[in-house]
Amino acid sequence: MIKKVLGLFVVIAVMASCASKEQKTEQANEQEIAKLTVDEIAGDMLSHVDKEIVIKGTVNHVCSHGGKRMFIMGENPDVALRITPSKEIGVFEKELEGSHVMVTGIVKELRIDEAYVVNLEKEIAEDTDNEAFHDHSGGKHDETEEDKNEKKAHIEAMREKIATSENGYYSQFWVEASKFEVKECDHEHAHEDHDHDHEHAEGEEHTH
Amino acid sequence: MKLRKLNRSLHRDLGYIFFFLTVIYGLSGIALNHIDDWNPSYVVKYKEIKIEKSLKKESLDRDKVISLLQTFAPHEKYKNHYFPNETTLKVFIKDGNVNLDLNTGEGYIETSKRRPIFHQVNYLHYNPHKIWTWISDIYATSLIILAFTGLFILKGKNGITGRGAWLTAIGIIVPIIFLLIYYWKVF
Repeated sequence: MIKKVLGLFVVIAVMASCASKEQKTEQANEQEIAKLTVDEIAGDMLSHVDKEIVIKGTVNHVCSHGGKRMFIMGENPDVALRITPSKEIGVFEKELEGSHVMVTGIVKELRIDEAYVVNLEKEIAEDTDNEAFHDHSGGKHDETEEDKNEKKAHIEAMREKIATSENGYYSQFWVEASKFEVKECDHEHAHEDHDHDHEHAEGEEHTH
Repeated sequence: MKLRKLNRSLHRDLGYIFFFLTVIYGLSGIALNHIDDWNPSYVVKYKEIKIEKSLKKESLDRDKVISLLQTFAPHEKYKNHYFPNETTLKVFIKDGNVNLDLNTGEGYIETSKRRPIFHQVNYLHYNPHKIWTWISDIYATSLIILAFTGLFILKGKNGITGRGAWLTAIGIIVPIIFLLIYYWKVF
């Protein structure tokens, strides 16, 4: 029995050593990836679509039901970037709120055009969850008639935005994280002297 | 005869192996079924606060915010803070946050603490890792095997040719009725 247990430990040790080698390779790759802050990337999301980036920020909100989304901000609290976890990360814990994090991930784009909005309306009718409705509040989970009306108004706003766009669509951006680490809070993190126009990272939908 | 013995052994052993996973998915299934009524992963507490004086954003540095936090929440551990706008202070504490209107002095503390057992089972239910996807796939496949092997455990009047047939039929009819009413909208 003891031999079997020891054997198991040896297998685990070998696996851990392999994982450590992989980590070193990842670290080497990381040096080639651009490191940005939320403020730096906010106005220029489009040029980073499908590219890997490392982004620094403070976690402003984590969806408390499933932990499938978190929002990070930079020095300007009016700009927030949505981060979703890869399958490897799984979920974000609520305790991350207020922490400084460094996220490695791929920038994703969702183009919202008329066809998308029509589909969204269908989903609302069928009461299906949709990524485009996930905002700082983490989305609505207990939907009332009032919430549904709010969604309808939101759809109208989307249509207006499409109508005023040059290409017949506008984009929402987020980062799908493959890795993240929590950094120590070693400096004062007060954001000062910002007007509250409440803009988001380029294309980010937001409702309070 | 041999086949029935193999069937019983398979059912028994899979039952042993997946006992705990069944409890995990059962508990989290109930929890997530009622997600509109409660937060199954966190115990969220909300407490209103009021400070007597109005404050200016410019006068609040990190140390002052920490001192301020001590006055209305002495047990909470400061983590970070920022100003969402000119008149609002948001302080992140260890398990939540504090929102304070600097003009009126009114605000609230919201704490979210992990709900024991449910946080862990929901974490697993939400498929936290790629490896867990494999485990849950194996479990799901095993549940199907358990279901089929379960049909042939007993022989005789309590087996699948007797009482078992009726009970199995009820179990099939109930979801079909729901599909007819709500999915195919036959009625």
